[in-house]
Amino acid sequence: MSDLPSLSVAEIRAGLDSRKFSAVELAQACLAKADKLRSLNCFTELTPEHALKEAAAADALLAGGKSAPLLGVPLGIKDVICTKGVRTTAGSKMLANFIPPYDATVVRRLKTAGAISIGKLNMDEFAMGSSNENSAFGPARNPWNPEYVPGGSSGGSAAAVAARICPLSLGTDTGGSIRQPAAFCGIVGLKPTYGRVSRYGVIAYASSLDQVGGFAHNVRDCALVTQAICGEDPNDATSSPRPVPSFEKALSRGVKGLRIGIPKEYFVAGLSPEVSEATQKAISVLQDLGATTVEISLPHTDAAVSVYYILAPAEASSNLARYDGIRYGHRAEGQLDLKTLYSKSRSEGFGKEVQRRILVGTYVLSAGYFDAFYVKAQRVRSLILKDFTDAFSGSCDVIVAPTTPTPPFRIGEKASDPLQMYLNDIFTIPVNLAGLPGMVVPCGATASGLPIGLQLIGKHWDEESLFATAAAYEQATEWHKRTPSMAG
Amino acid sequence: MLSEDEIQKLATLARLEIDPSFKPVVTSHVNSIIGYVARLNEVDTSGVEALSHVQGATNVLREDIVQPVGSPPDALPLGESAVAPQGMLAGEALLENVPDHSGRFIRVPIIVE
Repeated sequence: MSDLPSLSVAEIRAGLDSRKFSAVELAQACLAKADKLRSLNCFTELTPEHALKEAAAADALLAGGKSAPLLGVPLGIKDVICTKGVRTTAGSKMLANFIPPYDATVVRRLKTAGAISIGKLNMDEFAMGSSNENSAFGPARNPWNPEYVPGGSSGGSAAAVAARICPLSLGTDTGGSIRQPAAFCGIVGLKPTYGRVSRYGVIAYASSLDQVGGFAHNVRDCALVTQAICGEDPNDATSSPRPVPSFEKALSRGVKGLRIGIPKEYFVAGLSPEVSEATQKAISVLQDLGATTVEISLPHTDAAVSVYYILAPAEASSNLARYDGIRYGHRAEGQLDLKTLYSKSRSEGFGKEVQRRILVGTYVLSAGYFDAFYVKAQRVRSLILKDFTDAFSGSCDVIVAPTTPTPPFRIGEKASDPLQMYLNDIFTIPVNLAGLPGMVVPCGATASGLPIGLQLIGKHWDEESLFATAAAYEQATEWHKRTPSMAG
Repeated sequence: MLSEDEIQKLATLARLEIDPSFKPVVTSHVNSIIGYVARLNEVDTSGVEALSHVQGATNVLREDIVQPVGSPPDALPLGESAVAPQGMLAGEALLENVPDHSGRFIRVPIIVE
């Protein structure tokens, strides 16, 4: 039998529905592969007991003649998303022993869809990072070359799917944390429109930017997992009541007549020649498929990283104030007075990058600096949103751009200079600030074989055009068929 | 430029105890971040509204209905209750994550001297 964990969701569906293999066999195969590839450090925890129990329930439904797109399909869940009865750490020592008493809405939705979680995926602590090096549980590694980062913060989610441990995973994206690791690992990833997916049960980093999304081997599988998690949730007031269209239907729409905007500010000095070339080639593929292209301007692109590193740390310093060692999370040992208990618990529990962002957030929110930094950043955020709405209202339907300025970098290469690390997110951050959907599909490789990803940016609520564009591109190219040698 | 003392003040406000060996490093990092983000001063924002929520969210109200207490039921495959009201969490379930408690009470240090 072929390697079960490498199968696409369509192949899994066919195999399960025709009883070629069972959901239990499939889950066992994924767990065994995760164990074999333990050196990648993708998972903070594997959950065989839960997985096999859920797989047996799926097999019982299948035996009764039931079927559904994700019934019996294994996946992994980023460890920032609460799973009932399964440790959820957010990559932090602070939550090393936290066992949520409830499921996040996205997890409930996936369980209801019949998907099987095999475990929790490694990540930068509290989703703060672009390399997975900020995890309290050690860095996840890039399956294309374990000396390289898988990207972050959803590094484990991307690495597990790229290594063909499981066909799908969930991540979160606050400033690029789905798209950048999808690009670095050579897989498909989508951050939906802000408000498309419930954040209930997702450990908060920067609430006005955080959004859950999926990783997959191919565009169709990504559409299926996205479909399963979208929709209004009474437990998250920012989730939208808008009806969710069928993403699968959009896949066959093609790109004939589609107007693609190419933002000139994304092709500047500092963009690696290999990334630039791969992006240009992808654009000509889309042109050959019948799309028209137009150069657009997003004049405030250069300000986005500054806006983000004011607003996100500000929101984080507020969100992370809840970790005080009292009700849950790490508590410092010893007979301490209250204030010392707070500060010791927080300093022992939080890693350096988290502490750094809390300090920056505290500074920009403090009296005297609030207007100059926080309110100023909110105003520039308005301008960044306007850049996009102007482009979309006039000249284009979808924007195509590089995902990152460089291909994957080595573990340790940027670890000592936080600002250099932040600048890696220059092309993904504007999308979060504007609340738009963004998608990545593999579009090339460097001379040394490391993946390059193409970024597609859509109008608010228009994930369909992203799926249509990505599916057309995928059909015309072979990049999604490349797999790292260790994936077997 | 923030001095190490000013970083210490921020740390106190944020209830963090910065490791002495990390203090010079974090001071230099925070200064380089603040120096970088201060470039926003060059952007003309006269007459531009501050944006706090991208979809222009408004208050979302619902009927005030008493919900039963109890651990939320597990979602079932191919069930239809993915976002049905899950009920309030029982106190016992929440207490399981409390670092130090006695019965239904969370134990804390003396807060009144």
